[in-house]
Amino acid sequence: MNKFAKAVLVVGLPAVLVTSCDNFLTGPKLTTDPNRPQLAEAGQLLVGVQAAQFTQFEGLLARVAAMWTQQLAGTARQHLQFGQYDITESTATSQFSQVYLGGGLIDVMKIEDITDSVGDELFGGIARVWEALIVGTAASLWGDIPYSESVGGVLEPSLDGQSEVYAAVQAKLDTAITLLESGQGAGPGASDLIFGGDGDKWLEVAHTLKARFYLHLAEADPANYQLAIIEAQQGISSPAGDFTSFHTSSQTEANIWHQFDRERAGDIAAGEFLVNLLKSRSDPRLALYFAPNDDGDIEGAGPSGTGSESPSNLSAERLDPAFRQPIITWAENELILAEAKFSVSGAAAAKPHVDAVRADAGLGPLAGAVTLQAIILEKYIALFQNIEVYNDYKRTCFPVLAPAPGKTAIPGRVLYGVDERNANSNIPDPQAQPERNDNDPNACTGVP
Amino acid sequence: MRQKRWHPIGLAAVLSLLSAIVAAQQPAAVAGRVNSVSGTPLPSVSVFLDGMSIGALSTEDGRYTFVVPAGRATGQTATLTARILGYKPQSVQITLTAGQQITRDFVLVANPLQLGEVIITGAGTVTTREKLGNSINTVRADEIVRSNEANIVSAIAGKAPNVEVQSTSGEPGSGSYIRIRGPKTIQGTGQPLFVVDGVPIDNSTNSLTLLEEQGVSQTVNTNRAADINPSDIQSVEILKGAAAAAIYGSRAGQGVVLITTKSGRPGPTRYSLRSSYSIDEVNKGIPLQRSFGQGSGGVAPVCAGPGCRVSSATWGPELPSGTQTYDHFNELFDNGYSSDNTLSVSGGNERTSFYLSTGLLYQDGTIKGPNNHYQRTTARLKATHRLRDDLSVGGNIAYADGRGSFIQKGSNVSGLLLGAARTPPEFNNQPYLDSTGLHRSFRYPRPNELRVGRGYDNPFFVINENPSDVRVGRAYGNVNVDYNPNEWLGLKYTLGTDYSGDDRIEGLALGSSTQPQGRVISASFTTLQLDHNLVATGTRTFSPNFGASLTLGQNLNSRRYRQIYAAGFQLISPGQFQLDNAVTVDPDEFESLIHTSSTFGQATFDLFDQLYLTAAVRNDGSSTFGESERRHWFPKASAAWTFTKYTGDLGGNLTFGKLRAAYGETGQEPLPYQTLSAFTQDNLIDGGWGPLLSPTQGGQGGLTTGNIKGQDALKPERTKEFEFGLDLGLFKERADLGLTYYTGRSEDVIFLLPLPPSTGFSSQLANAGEISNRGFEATLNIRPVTTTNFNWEIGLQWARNRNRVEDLRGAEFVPMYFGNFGQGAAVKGEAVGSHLGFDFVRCGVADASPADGADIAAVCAGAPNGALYVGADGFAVLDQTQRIVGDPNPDWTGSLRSVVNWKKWQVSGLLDVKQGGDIWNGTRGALIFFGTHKDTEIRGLETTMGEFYNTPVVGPGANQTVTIDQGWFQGNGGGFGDVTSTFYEDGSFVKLREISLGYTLETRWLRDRVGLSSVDLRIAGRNLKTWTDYTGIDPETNLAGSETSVRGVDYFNNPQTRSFVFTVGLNR
Repeated sequence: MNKFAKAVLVVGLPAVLVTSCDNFLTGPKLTTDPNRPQLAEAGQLLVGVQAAQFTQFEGLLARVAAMWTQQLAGTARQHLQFGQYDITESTATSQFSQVYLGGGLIDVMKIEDITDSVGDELFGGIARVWEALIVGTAASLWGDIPYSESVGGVLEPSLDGQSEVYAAVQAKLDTAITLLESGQGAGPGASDLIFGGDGDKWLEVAHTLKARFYLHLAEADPANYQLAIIEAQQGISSPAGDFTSFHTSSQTEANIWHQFDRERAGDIAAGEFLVNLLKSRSDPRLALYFAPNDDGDIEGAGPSGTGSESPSNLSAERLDPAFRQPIITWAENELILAEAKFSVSGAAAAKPHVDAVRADAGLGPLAGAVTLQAIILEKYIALFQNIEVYNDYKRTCFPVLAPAPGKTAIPGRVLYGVDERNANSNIPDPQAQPERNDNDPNACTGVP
Repeated sequence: MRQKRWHPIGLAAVLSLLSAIVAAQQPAAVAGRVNSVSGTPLPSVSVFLDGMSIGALSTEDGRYTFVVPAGRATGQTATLTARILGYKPQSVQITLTAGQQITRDFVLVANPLQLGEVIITGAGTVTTREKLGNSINTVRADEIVRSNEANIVSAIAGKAPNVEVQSTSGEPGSGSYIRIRGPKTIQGTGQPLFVVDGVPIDNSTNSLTLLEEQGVSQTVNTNRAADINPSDIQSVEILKGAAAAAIYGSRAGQGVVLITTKSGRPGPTRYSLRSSYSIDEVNKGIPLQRSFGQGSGGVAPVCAGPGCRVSSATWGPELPSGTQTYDHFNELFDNGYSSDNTLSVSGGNERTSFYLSTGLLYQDGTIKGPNNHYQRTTARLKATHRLRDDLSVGGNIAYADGRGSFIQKGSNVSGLLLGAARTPPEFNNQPYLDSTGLHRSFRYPRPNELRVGRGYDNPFFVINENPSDVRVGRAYGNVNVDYNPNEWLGLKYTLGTDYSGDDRIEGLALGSSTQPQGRVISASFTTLQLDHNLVATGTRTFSPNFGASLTLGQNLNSRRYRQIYAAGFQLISPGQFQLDNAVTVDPDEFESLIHTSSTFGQATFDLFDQLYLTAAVRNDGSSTFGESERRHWFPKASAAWTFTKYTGDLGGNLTFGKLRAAYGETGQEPLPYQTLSAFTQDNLIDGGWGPLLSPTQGGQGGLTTGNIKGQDALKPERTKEFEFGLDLGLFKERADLGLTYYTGRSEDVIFLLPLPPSTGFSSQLANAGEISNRGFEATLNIRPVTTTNFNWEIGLQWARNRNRVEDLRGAEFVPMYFGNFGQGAAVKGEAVGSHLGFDFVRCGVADASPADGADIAAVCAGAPNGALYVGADGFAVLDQTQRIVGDPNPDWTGSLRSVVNWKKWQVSGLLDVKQGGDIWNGTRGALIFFGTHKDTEIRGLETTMGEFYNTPVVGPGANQTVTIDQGWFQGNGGGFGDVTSTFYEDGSFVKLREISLGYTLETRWLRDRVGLSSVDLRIAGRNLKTWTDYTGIDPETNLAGSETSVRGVDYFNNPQTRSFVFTVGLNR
């Protein structure tokens, strides 16, 4: 044996042994991901959708809506700026994205595909209600949005007009209602954290949601009031049917308002306007919504963070980690009926609905005249912390709010997220974006 | 019978025959002495027979002697070469005849240009300096030791042009970042490959946060190369360009740092004990005001009673004279100290050599309290044994035990400086617990509840109550076999491994503001790397004018990473930081496995003893590449021409001249599993505000579609670089000059190509970026005096790099990391890492238009570019479009080094210069908002925007006088407004990195009575002085840690330190 052959044997053998494994570059943990699942069931996706959307409906958008409508006030750091409408296209960029990303439309549509393929109509109906809630809310805030081309392989989805989106949402809800009325299939069961798969409750929510979105279009076309009445009459029939978020006291299941208070204590506080309004009405909800400050008083701050040395925080109840945030409620349904009937049939038809909501809050019947302003004020209070309050304000300009000092108007819409604009040439630059959405042709003057 | 007599001639013949036989069986003896030109004996010179692996080292008196076994002294001619670092090697031809005594003396000439010295070029290949066709910087042991840095990465700072080093903070155990010839990647770590004794090692930085948020909050982290004891290092070779690093293929995209540890040498066993002790102090702080008190609108807050919450702002009344105020920065720090001891034993004989060392480093940081320290214990054994003349085996084992305790920092309401620097001057942060043991802070001065947030933690609470402990165990090393079956062929096999376990416990006590209910994070990071490298090199000198070599190699590498992380919330018992003590636990687990398989080859040609050509190619396959992109080629070629061999030495004024040109390609492999789309259990977050929900709720398992779309055709990033250089030895080698120009283009740069979120995905990895880097590097070394007793050396280095993002395939910009510090980005046409942010509306900025509807073009007519638009109220106005507001990349970097040796004395110094590079002083921005920054002392100032910002102005309120007060500082004039551009500052600095005075004691008394050959004494300063215009802490700072490529972020970073160091070295 010559020296070279020996060298090969002595030194090369380990090399040969190692390379003789054919699959050195492929195989488990090399070309499959040990960290992320490749498959998901419809129920698992639904839980994810709920977590994402609870975050959405209780997060920045809700805080901004509450600050702009002066239910709350930004009192420190960035939220002091947001409360005075100093926002950029970065401010709500994650929120715009969350409409579509995992936990948003992409997963709702996957649930629909999975449930349709197995004929689970109950589950399919519920998924479509979620889709309508997500897309309709997005249309109310951003106006024209990508929808017909979104989440479908189109590289740069184009904007659909806001009215087309609302029409598509109504059609989606019609499909949902058909499916829910059939009620075939096993449904989501416990993975539906809101109603445990109760199709009847979802059916009511679907109708209330239809009514809500008709109302969104009523400023431009009052004919929508009649459509809203028809839907709301089949809507949520009692507070037991309220669509509320689900939370527990566990760290990663806690209410977002609670978490925000924990992470950013002092950045937001009670709004002066709402506090004074509740005080003037001796409304028992004052203490339900807000906590006394160090002096034992409930005080609010104005939109520039001033007005009170120590404005109140949210109440302990509202900051409870397990607090289930109302999103679509019986009270909203009643007040939709009130507003729509007021417009179609007059004050008398509206009054029972207003009084029902007041009674539920522990108040006597409305003493003064039933006016649109009175109805919206009731809704403004009843839907505390709900993004809908901002939609109502834009439509009706009620309650009458003075814009933040130095500002001429409360913004009419939210800017598209910079993440979307950066990658989608269909999205105009911030300067080229409209000041208000099509469903809201009239600016609020701040004068009654 | 006649007595038979020996025939005398016959006898003589027999005797001579016998003696010849005996002689033939006797070895040949080779001996002599080695002196320097000045006549002093040179010890430790290796005198060896080339190709025979036989030889010896010279002793203290310069003598050497060795024998050649009879069987190998066959009358042949052999080359005897004497070599030692710092002198030119010298060879003589001798004839080896058995039984003969051969005497050869050498007189060695100093070799400041290091010609003929062996340079390690990676993957088992070596060459000599004059044959090198590309630039490789070498940092030697004495330079590393003189830096007095515990972290080998920091020790390189200022020692090689275009090798930028930045330590994260002055805290013990903090990591260091290194960048070679500019950024070439966008979302990768940008850290070079580290190789120790031929085996790649892990230099990642484990962190309790995601990579993209690394360093933003929580604590500093140690980069894993810091596990190496710098005293064990013989030399560091930095392969900077793609041509130099191509031999490492797809792992060398950011360059390669080759570390060679010390080896034993034949001769008497040497003992060395090096002990240093240093005193450390914070070198630069944050300017704070001491004149105005807590409150808002000039009104002090009223604390109504126990549990009151008071204003976080310091916009209260002017403090009456005589009010006790506190220095909220300096009260947190005192002197730190470190001790560093390394004991080494080395030696061996002709067949066996060893180096054994153990080191103990202990650093107590400058932050007060018991939780700011780092300890590193290391042990290393490197040994080789020649089994046969043609076969040797070696082993190389190192163990490191690292233990650290770090302090919360950064954007973190439980961070040290965030709460400290926001504290109103009149509030005494001590004691941090009130009489009932509750945590008190300026926003919650009369605590009456334990489990509620304090707004910001009292800094002394942070120091004392929130421990963050790290325990690292690391074992790495290799076994190797060297086989030289004949004179022209060598085979080298190395099997290396690197294992580390990094255990963390991080506690936030009850009543901490981040987690009022308390939190414990328990995490463990495990890495295992196996590396198999087989190289065969054939070398042949065909004639004096033509030599060639061919190297073929194979490499297999496996890297496993595992992370187990669990956060426990709501502590049950206050002081116990363990998961069992938490009400809820949120676990997270991650693992990855990467395999690469490579083959490589290199051919060299030496022509006419002056032209050296090298060509090499590596073929890499990696499990991280897409299925259709499984294997890739990385070529290189270089030429070096020592033209002075052709022209002569021009009268001694140009003794050496070399022109070199090189081209190479290197790669950066993608992260694992990026080829797949998948579902995720990641939390759903409320933007960057902190709140989040797990996708699993109420006991129901949940999943969401991951935001990143899989990319099944992913391939490595590829850098292609040309390099040209000139190396000159001037004025009889009294000076040498090296010039290098390079121009490189990094293609297929991987980044998350943003997708419109409306597609359902926010991004998809793509090989879609192109980045260019080009620059100059110059080194000039001057030796004005070189005499036996007096030596003076001056070294100058200068480098600049110009970086540009050439293409992002349509994307306007790519963010480099997220959270509320989303500034770092790659923007087309700009340097990588430029910061995005918001500015005021200014003239000449495309599409800037004020919200008040003014026609900016008309208003700006005739005004200079950059003029500030001032609204009707007299204030500047937010420009709503995100733009570039800062570039953290320096314009140039340089250093000046000088060493003077006079007899036994040595004086040395190193000045490090960074020119340019913006830093976002977010600390100042925030403190201006809160009214504690020194700059807010001007509150109430009546001025105009033009005066205030010292800039031309236009617009309706251009010359209107406004009051700069709380309103402005809490709006767009402060750090929580949208405008970030006003807090960018020039981060240039000149730093006295090192200065030292040393004395070597060598006396007969020491040797005879104490038994020591020498004693080294040294006093030194580290970072003693920084000259800078930066107004915050030392500008050598970065919030983002040692791995993230985002640079230039200062947001309540913990400060840097300077040190006074005393060292004693005992040698035997």
